[in-house]
Amino acid sequence: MRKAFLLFGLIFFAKFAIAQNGKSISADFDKATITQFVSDLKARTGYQFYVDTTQFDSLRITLHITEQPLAAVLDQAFKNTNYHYTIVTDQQQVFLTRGKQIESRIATGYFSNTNSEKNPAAVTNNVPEDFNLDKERPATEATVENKLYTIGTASNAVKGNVILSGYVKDIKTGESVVGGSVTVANTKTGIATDQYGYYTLTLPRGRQTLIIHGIGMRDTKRQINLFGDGRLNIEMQELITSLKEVKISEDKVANVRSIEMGVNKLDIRSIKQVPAVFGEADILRVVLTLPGVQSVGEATTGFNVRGGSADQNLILLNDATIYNPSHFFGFFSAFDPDIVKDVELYKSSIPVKYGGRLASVLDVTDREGNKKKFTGTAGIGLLTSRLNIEGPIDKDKTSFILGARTSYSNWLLSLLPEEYKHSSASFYDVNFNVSHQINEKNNLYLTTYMSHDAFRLNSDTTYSYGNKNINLKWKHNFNDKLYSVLIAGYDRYQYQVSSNTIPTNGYNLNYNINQSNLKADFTYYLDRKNTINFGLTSTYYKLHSGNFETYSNQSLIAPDIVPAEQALESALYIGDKYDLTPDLTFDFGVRYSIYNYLGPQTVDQYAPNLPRESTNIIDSVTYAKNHIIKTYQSPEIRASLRYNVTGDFSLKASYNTLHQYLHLLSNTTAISPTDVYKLSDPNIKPQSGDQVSFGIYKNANSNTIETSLEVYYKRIKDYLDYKSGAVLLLNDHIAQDVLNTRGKAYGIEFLIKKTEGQLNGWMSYTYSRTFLKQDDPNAGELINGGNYYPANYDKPHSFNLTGNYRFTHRYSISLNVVYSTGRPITLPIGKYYYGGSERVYYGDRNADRIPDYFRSDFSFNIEGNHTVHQLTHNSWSIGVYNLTGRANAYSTYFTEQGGAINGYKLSIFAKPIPFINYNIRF
Amino acid sequence: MMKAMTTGIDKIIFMIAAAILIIGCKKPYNPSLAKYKTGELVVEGFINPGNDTTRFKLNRIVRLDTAVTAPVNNAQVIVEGADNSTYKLEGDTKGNYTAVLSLNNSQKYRLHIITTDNKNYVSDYVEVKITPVIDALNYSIKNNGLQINLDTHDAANTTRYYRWDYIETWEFHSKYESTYYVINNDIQPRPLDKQIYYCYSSANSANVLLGSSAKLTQDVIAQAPVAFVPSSSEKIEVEYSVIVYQYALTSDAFNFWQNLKKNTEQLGSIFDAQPSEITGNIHCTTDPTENVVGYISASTVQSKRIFVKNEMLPQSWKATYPYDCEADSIFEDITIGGKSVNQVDQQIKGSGVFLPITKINSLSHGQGYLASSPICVDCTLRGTIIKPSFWQ
Repeated sequence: MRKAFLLFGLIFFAKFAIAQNGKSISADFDKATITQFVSDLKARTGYQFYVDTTQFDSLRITLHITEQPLAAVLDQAFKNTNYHYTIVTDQQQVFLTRGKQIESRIATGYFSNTNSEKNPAAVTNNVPEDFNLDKERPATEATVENKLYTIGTASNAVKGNVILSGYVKDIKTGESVVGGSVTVANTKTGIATDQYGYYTLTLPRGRQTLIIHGIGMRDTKRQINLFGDGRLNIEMQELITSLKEVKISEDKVANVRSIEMGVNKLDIRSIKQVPAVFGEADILRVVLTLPGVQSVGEATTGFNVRGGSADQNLILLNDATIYNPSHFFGFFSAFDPDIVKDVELYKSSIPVKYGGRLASVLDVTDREGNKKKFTGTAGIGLLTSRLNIEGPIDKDKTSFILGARTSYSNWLLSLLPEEYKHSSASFYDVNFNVSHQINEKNNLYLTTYMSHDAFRLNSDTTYSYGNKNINLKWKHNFNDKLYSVLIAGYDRYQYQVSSNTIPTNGYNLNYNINQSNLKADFTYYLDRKNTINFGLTSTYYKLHSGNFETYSNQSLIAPDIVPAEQALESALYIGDKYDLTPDLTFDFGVRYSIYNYLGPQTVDQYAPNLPRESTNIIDSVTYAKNHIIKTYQSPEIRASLRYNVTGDFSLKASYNTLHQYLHLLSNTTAISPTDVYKLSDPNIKPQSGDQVSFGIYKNANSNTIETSLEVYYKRIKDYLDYKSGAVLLLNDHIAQDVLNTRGKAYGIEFLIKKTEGQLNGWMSYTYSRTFLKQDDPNAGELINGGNYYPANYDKPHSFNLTGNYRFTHRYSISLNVVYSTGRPITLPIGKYYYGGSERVYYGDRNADRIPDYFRSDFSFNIEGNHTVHQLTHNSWSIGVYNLTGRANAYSTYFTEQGGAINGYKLSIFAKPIPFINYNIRF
Repeated sequence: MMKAMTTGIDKIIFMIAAAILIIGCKKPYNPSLAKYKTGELVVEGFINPGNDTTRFKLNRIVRLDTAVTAPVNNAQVIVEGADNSTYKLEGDTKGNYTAVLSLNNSQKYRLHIITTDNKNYVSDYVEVKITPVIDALNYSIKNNGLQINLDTHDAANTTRYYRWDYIETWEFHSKYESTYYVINNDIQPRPLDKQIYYCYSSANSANVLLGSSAKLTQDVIAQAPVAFVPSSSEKIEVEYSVIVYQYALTSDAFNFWQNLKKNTEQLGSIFDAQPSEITGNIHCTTDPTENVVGYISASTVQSKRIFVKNEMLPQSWKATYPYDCEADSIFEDITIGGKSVNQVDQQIKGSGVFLPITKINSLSHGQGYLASSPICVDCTLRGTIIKPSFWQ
C-alpha cells in the first residue's frame, strides 16, 4: 500500500519539480566568488542564502546558464566539488555547505537513505497531496512524545497549508478525549476536540510541535513534520492522582480563544469535588454554581438560565432530550455521575445545530466504555447506590458501558411517624451505551437511558414518572475536511397517577410525550479560514396530554381522554466560522425552523379581538390525520465574533434569535412532575426570544487564572402565564386559561477561575434582573395592571464560590459557598373574613422577596493509596451540607389556622446535614 | 381528585423533606407591610330564593397586621331580578344585611350595593340553582380520628358542583366535677341545676369544602369528607353532632371557591400554585379599577344532621384536656411563717382563684377542699349548660 502510494507520488515528480522550480534563471558567472554568486542569485530568485563564506573562499564559479531552474544552476555550480546545497522551497531558503548536506526535512528511513545517494536536488520532489484527498491513508498512531512523526509524503518544496486530523484517546481505556485541546506551540492556532475526540487543524507545512491538553489527562506534546494532509491519532495518559485539580475549562486558553461565549464546561472530576447534599455528585447542583444560572430553590427540578423559565432549557443526554432531569422531586439529578463524562452549558451563543428552546442548551455527555479491559466502579451512599461496569466487546473496536443507580429510601420512611409510615418512594435509572468503530472512517454509537420514579403517600395516591431514550449515532468521515454525524433517536417522558382509596372514584391518569428525531449534521473544514457546519434536523412530537380512566369496574369516573397532539418541528441550518485574521473571528449562522401542527385534531376558532373564552368560540374545525393545521416558520440568527487583543485577552460579542414551539404548562413555582406540555397550535403562538451579549476575557498568571465578564440583554415574547384558577390538566381548551406575556432580562456576570495549583476552583458573581409583563388585550384580566413584574426566579445578586484545596495527592478539602437575593413572592397584605375563616388578600404579583439565601458546604475527600496495580481503588467523601445550618426560606406562606392568619417560612435543609459516601473503582 | 393530586404532591414533599433527617422546618415569618394600602370591599353571602333569610355581610379588607374589623354599615343593598324586580335588604350595625326574599327560581338575579360614599357595586346576574338533598351523612373511624362523610346525588345530572359548610355541636365536660359551690360567702353542696361539669359548645366550619362530580359519568358524590375530629379531641368525649348544609354551585362559583381555598388554605409547599387575585363576580361600576372580593350565587339550601356518641368510638381514644390542670388541697388552717392562714377564705371564697371540687378533712389543718382553677372546673367558661333544642 505504502509503496504503491510512493510510486504514484514519483510519477508526478518530474512534472511537479518543474512546476515548483519553474522560476528559471539565466546567469553568467566568470570566476565569481561565493559572495558574488550568492548575491546575484538572491537578486534573481528572491531566495535567502545561508552560507559560511570562509568555507567557500577557495571556490570560484564559472557558469553560463540560460533559463534553468535554481536547482539546475546550483547543480552545475557545485558539480564535482565537495560543496552541497539544500533548498527549502517553502521558506525560500538555500543552505550551502561543505562536506555535509543539510537535510531540510527529517524523514523516516526510506527517503533519507535514497536521498543521500541522490543528487541533492532530488530533495525538492514532492507529492501533490492536494490531488489525493480521497485516498485512504492510515492514521499515524502517535504515542511517544520525543519521536518525530511525519505526516504526508516527505517533501519540502511546497508552501502552504495542510490539514491534520485525528482522534485523541485515552491510552488506557481507548475512550475519546472530549474537549481536549490541540494547539500548535508558540502560535495562536489550536482547536478543541469534539464529542468524539476528533480534531482537525489547518497548519502550515513543516515542522511543528503540538501541545495536547485533556481534562484529567496528563498534558502531552507531539513533534510532527508535516508534508501533506494526514491523520494523527494521539493517545494520552490519564492523571492517576485524580484529585489534582478542578477544571471547568476545556483548555487553559479556551475561554479567551474560543469564539463561543457564555459556554461553561464542567467535567465530572470537578463535579465530584463539589460537596453534595447526600454525598453523591450531582450534576445539576454544580451547574447551579455557574454564573447566570438560578433556581427557584432547593429541591426543585428546574433551573433558570439568564432569565429563562425552566422549560426553556434544552437538556440533552448524548443528544437525547431529557424532559425531567431529576429524581425525587429534585433531590437527585437524573444523571449518573459515574457514567457522565462532561457537561456543557450554552447560555449566550447557542450553536446553530441546536434549537427549539429559548434559554440554554445543557449538553450532558456520557463516557465511552473502556475499549481495552473490563473495569467498573461502585458507590454506596445513605439513600442510593450506584454500579457501573464497562469493557470491550471487541478489543479496541467495540465497547460498552453500563451504569445503574437505585434508591433504598423506604427504610427511612418506615422510621417516620404513623402519618407517613405507609408511604413509599423509590427510583432507579439505567444507562447503557455501546460504541463501535467500523473502520477508520465510520463509528457507530448506541446510547440508551431509562429512569423511573415511583412514590405513594400513605397508601393513597400512587405517582410514577420516567424518561426513556434511545439514540443511534453514525459518524462518518468523508475525508479529512468533511465529516458527518447522523442521529436517529426516540425520546419519551411519561407519568402516571392512580388512586383507588374510594373505589367509586378510583382513577388512572396517564400522560406522555414522545418525540422521534432525525438529525444530520455536517462539519466541513473548507480551508484554514472557514469551518462550515450545516445540517438538517426533524422532530416528530406526539403528546398524549392525559388519559383519565377508571381504576376498576366499580369506578364511576367518566373516562376523559384529551386528544393526542402531534407536530413536526424541522430545521435547516448552516453556519460558518470565519477567521478574518488570526485575531478576528466571526461565526455567522442561520437556522431556519419550520413547525407544522398536524391533525387529527379539533381546533377552536375564537372571535378576533375578544378574550379567548368558551363563549367566544365561533367555530370548531376538525382536521384529518397528518393534515397541516398550522405552520409557523422563521429564520433564527446566530452570530458571534471574537477579537483577540493580546494572546490572553479577548473581546467577544454575540446575537441570537430563538423559537420554542413546546410549552410547559405549570402554574407552580417549581416544575412538578405532573406538569403538562403543550404544543403550539393556531391559538397558542410559539415563544420567541433574542439575546445580545458582550464579553471580556482575560487570563493571567500563565493562563492559570481566568477571568471573564459578560453582559447580556434578552427579550422574550409569547411566554405563557395563567389566568386565575386555570386548570391545566385534562383541559381540552387550554387556550382559554393561558395568557401571553413578554419578558425582558438583563445582567452582568463575573467569573474568576483558578485552574491549577493546590488551591483551585471558581468564584462567580451575577447581577441580573428578569421581568415579565402581561398586557394581552384579549386576556380578560391583567397581572399587576399590565406593568412589568419580576419573574419567580428574579434574584438580582448571586454569588458562588467553589474551591478545592489539596494537601497531598490523597487528601483534599472542598468548600462551596452560595449567596443570593431571596426570590420574589407575592405577599398577603390584607385579611378579611370569608367562608368561615379569616382569609388573606394578596398584593401585587412578586412585589416582595423572601429573605436572602446563604449556604456553605464542606467536604473532605480521601483517596485510597495510589498504588497503580491493586485490585480496587477506594475513595471516601465525608462532609457537611449547609455547614452553618442557616434555615434558608424555601418559601414563605400565610395560612389560616384556627381562625388566625399566620405567616410561615418553610426551609428544606434547615440543619447541617452530614454525609458520607464510599466509592470503589475496579 | 385533581385537588387531591396537588395536595398529595405537597404532602409527599413534606414527607421526603421530613424523611431526610427531619430536615424540613417551618418557622414564623412576619414581613413589614407598612407600604401597602388596603380597604377593598368584601361581600359574603348568597341569594336564598326560598323562605329562609338571605344574608349578606359587607366588610372591608384590613391590614394583615391589624386586629380590627371594618364592617360596612348604612349601605343600600338590593337584590335585583333580570325582570327588573328589586328586593331591599335591611342592615344592622355589624355590616349584616338581611331579608326574606321568596324569589322566582327561573329568574336570574344580581346584587347591587351603593355605599355611603356613593360608589356602586354590581354583581353579574346569576341563575338560581336548586340544591339536591343530602342522601346520607355517616361517620367512619380512622386510625387518628372520626371522619364524617356525605353522600348526595342529582338524578338529573345538572348540579355537578357542590359546596358544604357545617356547624358542629358537642357535649363535653370540664376536668374536675365540682360538687360544692360558693354562695353568699359560704361553701355549700352544689345543686343539680347549678352543675358546671357537662356543657355544650359549637363551632362553624373554618375550611372551604367543595365537591365536584364533573368528571364522573353520573352526578354522584360518594363519601365526600366533610368534618374530621381528631381522636384526642374533647368534642367526642361525650357526644358529638354536626349539621351539614349543602349548596349547589355553578362552575364559575366553584372556581371562585376553589381559588379562595387554594390561596388561603393550600399554600406553603414546593409545588404551590402562584397566589392569584381573588376577584369574583362583583364589580365596582363607579371605579372599574377597584377590586371587589366576593362571589354572589343563588341557590336553595339542604341540610342534614348526624349524632355520634362516645360509646360508638374506640375505647382507646382519650380526650386531651385543652388546659394544664392540677387539683390542690386548700385548708382553713395552714401555718405560714408562724401565722395561721385561712386559705379557703382567701382563695376560694374571697378571690375565686380556685373553685372547690370536693370536701377534705385534715387533723392538723382543719376543714379543707380539693380545688382547682375555674378553667379546669367550670365548663360554662367554654360553653353553655343549656341543652340545644335539637339534642337527642
